Amino acid sequence: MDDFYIGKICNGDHDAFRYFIKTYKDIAYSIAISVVKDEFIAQEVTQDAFMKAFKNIGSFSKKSTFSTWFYRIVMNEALMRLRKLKKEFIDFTDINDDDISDENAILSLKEDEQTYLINEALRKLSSKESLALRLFYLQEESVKEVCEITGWSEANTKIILHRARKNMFVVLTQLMKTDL
Amino acid sequence: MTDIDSHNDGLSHIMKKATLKIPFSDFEEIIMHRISKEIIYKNLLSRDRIISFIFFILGTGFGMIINLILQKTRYGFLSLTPEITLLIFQAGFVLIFLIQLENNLHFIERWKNKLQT
Repeated sequence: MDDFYIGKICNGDHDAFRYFIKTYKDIAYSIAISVVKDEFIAQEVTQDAFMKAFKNIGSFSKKSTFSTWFYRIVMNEALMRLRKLKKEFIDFTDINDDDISDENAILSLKEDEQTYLINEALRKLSSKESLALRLFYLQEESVKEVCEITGWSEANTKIILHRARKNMFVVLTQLMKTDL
Repeated sequence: MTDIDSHNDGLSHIMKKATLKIPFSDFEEIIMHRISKEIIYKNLLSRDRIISFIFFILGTGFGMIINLILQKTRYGFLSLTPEITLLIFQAGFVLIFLIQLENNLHFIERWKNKLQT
């Protein structure tokens, strides 16, 4: 389907780009907010990424899938913006391993509380960890595909994922304790 | 490390709740509006570049005509001799011609690349 619409856009039907906006806007926003941590900046980053994709769609070489190519654009735009913002993230080391909640504690909460808590936790994680978790679990990309999108090595991706999983539970525990 | 490649661990159920929808309802229209502006800008730019190229050709022809006139009439400017006047004019003409030629060659190169893609 992506190839069909790429063909239409290259033939001058610019309205066909709506297909890509509808299909990828939520995912693109999700990747952007993982990196920049701010709704409005994430929206701007997503807009810029779509514009970049539109301008360069004629040179999309099909060596990878459109989604991989596009997510890479979103990620690069987000990282460029992050460098300008020069944000820093906190390292989580002050919780005892025994105190870390497991998934059952979180899943026992109400639906909307779960969504809020999880998105807040992702916001508190570093850009790399948040991005890795979203790509791996939400988009269900394989480790290899995450490497293609992010440019990380396979070893680095696995380390980031491992750290991200641990830190996610740490942050969720902290947030649950704060809310209680 | 086969565990690390699995999408079905404890965290996967939690992460499903992290699905985000973009909270700006007019997002699609904003992008399409930007695209329309981009297309208009590109068309105007193409037109301006073509006009610039035409004027480059006309300017080159006009410069060469003045060069011939200055050579034939041996006209001196202010207190300068005709030879000095001609030399200054020719130096200025060549400099401007080369700068504009470089710009127009870049334009042609980009046009060729665009046609190929």
